[in-house]
Amino acid sequence: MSAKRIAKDALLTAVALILFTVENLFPPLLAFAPGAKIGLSNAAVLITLIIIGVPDAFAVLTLKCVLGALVTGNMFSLAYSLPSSLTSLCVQTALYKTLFPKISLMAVSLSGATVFNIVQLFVASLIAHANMLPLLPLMLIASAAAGLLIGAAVFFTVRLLPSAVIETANEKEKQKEEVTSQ
Amino acid sequence: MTDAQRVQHIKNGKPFNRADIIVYTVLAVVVALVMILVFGGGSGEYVTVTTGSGSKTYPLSKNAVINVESHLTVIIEDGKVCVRDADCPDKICERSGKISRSGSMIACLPNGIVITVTKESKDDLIDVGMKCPLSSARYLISGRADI
Repeated sequence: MSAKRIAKDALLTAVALILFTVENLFPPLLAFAPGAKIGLSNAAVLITLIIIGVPDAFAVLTLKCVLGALVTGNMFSLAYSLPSSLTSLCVQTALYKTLFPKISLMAVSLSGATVFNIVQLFVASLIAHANMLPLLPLMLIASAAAGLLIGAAVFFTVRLLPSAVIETANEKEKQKEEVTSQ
Repeated sequence: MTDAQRVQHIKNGKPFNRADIIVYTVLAVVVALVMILVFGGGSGEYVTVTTGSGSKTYPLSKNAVINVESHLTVIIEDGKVCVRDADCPDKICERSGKISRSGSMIACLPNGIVITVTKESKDDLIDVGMKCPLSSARYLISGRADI
């Protein structure tokens, strides 16, 4: 792993953390669904997945969750955020790697948001020893809007990023080509 | 398809795709099914308050003021349930408002307390009227009462 790649990972982690912190400062967006957030920081994670790689995305996500819990001072929230975020990223990675050109980034992001909410309610049910499923429809509708928004945001961000910033798994091949051409 | 080709696809493609409709339809059907399962129950009859130490059920028809582990106050009034005086930082439970339909719920996750409305009672009923006949009246006077 090159220093350049680590630096990019760190930068994207910082972006994710800033988005997470700033978002927490705002009052709840929907009066009928307190606790509903757009989850802007997931945009940074999805961008990492696209422009750097899978392990990097998981690293950024884990760091964002842990550091985010430290920033907000609520370590208890890790129990909710970590399992759901990781499952959500697994689904997004699978969809992106297999179905992506057929289904768009918005659909990938929406699926991730849906899985996130289902797992989160499942974890919350385990922690609270009660069936939390009744909250699911409301959360899913709110998360659908958020997922679409994040998907579109990621699409346009990746589009505007200069090619020099994008370091995918094919970087090595490119370097080889450069060496041979020189 | 390689990652570089995927990025290229994003750079040249559109933000949405025709096949997305399939994904959205599948998700919409799931949401609709859950909605029917959850909210098709009609109006509720009982209120179950679940805490870390167990759960208690109260009838929705009788007005009551229930102090739950001195974390929050559950108020049953005119067939509706709401939470007041919660000591949690986010107050999400208080902002959930009044609920009355079977299947709906209020959760106070920081305190691990969940209030659900059900059609049938699973636990032995606590007759609020018998145990604490003055609870409603006391609430009117002091603004807060314990059982």
